Amino acid sequence: MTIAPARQHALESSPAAPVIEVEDLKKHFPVKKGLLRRTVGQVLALDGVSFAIPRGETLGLVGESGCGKSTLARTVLRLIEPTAGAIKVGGRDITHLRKRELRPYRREMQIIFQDPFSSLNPRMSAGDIVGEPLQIHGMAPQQRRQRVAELFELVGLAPAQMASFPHQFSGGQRQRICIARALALDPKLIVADEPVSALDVSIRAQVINLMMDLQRQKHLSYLFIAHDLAVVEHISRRIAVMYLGKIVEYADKNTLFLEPLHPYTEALLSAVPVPNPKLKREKRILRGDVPSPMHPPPGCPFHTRCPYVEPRCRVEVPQLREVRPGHWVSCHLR
Amino acid sequence: MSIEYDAELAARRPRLRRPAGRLRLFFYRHPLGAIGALIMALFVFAAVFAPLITGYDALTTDAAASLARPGAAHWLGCDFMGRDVYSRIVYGARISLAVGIGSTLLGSVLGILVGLPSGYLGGWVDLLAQRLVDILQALPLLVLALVMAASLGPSLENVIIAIAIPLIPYVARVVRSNTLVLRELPFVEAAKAVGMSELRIAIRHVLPNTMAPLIVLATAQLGSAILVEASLSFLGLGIPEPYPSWGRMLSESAAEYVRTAPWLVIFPGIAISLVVFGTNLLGDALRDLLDPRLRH
Repeated sequence: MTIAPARQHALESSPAAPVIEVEDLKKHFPVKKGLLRRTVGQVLALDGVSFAIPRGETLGLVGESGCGKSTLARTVLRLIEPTAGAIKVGGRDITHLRKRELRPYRREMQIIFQDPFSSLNPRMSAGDIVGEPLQIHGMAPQQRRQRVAELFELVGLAPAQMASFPHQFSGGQRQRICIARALALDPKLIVADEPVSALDVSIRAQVINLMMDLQRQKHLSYLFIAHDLAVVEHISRRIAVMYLGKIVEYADKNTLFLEPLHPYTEALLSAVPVPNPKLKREKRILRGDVPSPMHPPPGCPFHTRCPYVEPRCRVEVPQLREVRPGHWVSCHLR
Repeated sequence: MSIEYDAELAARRPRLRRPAGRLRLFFYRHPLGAIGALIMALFVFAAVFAPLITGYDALTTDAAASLARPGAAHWLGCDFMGRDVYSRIVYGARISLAVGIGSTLLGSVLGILVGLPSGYLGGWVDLLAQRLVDILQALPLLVLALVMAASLGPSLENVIIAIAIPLIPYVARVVRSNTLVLRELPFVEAAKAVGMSELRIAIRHVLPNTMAPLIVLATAQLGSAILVEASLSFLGLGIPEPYPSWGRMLSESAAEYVRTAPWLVIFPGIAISLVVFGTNLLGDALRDLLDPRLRH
């Protein structure tokens, strides 16, 4: 496959720059009430998130439902406008670009969604769905068909299936169509928002392996979101753990699995099933629910459920600190 | 990479490539829809070729034939002025179909123009559009038609507009409520992530998915538009005399002649029923045909 010379822009020339860099990203949703739609509060869906993903790497992002994972995915792509913070693509700040200025950067980053059923327009053929990004970015129809057929092969679908409609595919095949659509513009980053959570367990491994193969072939970067550490472990190089709109721990995959520092990460890890029923482990079961992001607790956001809570946790907000090289955690006790 | 996708595709669905094969497939898959299509084709044919298939002028009166029974001379009988009922029904198809199809199309297009931005954009556009819809819904049809007839004079165009306007709120609400659901779906987000413009998303991704309920609504409306025209004509606000419309043929003879000359009521009634029946059958088949999930 050839890449048009125009496509080889700044990113290639400075390989050191991360594909994506997010700095102190915040998204607050106003809560409106009553006839006059007065703002009565703010939901802190993202409360100062920072990370960077180098070319060809995967950052896994885990956390419970409602912790802001999906908001983060959409904000990074500017499908949702951030309240504060910066998003940099290949070193260029795109946080405040207008729609038209943003378009070239849309080619660099694409998204795969959780539900492969609602992420495909039921009235368009699979070929049209995958070809649409190419059409928007001005590729001629003849070239487009050729390219779509290539993309179908790339994700393990038969080009003959281009004329079929989404309902004629299985869940796993639909997710392959979504991946093909995301790859159409040759992006450098793919944000995958729980791409396998809705799939049968038997299909999950296939889709994850496909994503890893594509990563090797195309030197892709992934922001891979999941609520399940076991899935993330396989594909990620680094893992970030999110809780109530904040990253609470951020480390190398192996470090995180062997020496988790944050009590929340510990609890998540103890929930990962181990394929040996005789192995007895200390279970840490979290009590209670995630506090409402509209009224986050003072001090450490995790103190309401933390087994090691101390008085100062209730008052003082812990900062994300690098406790060992490459291992960041936000906890007073570590 | 080079792939022979074209040959494979052509081999897979050869029948759909030829229009004749498509038509045969339609008759096979949707026999009821095909009946509906035939009925509609028959009436459209009658409307277009009216002078060729009628022996009498629809407007000429004949005192000798007043209230003539159906027979060899006048197939469907004559009205009290001696006008041939068959000819009047055939010529009336022009007006009744124009009113039915015209007002339904006009009302649907205007309803979409209000409902789609209302649901998709939300915010103050939605607020404004919904108040407009409220106002339209509060206007009684007859008052509206009365005002229009009084100020613009009764004519075919004014009847079509007067009947189309009350349809706008229904179409607008159906489109809006579907759009509210659709705009949150991931395939719309995916289109945004690609950099597609909002207008294009609304037309390509949202509107086609609101079509199913819209077609049902529109085909039901088509029949009632023909009946509404009847009541407007009865009040002198519709198609001016002496031009024939099924609705008026039915309404002006119903009270007086239903016992003595029932053919004056029965035959226009059958014409209206057939068109309503035909559009409903056709509409159902069309809805299925436009939905890929039901097509295969």
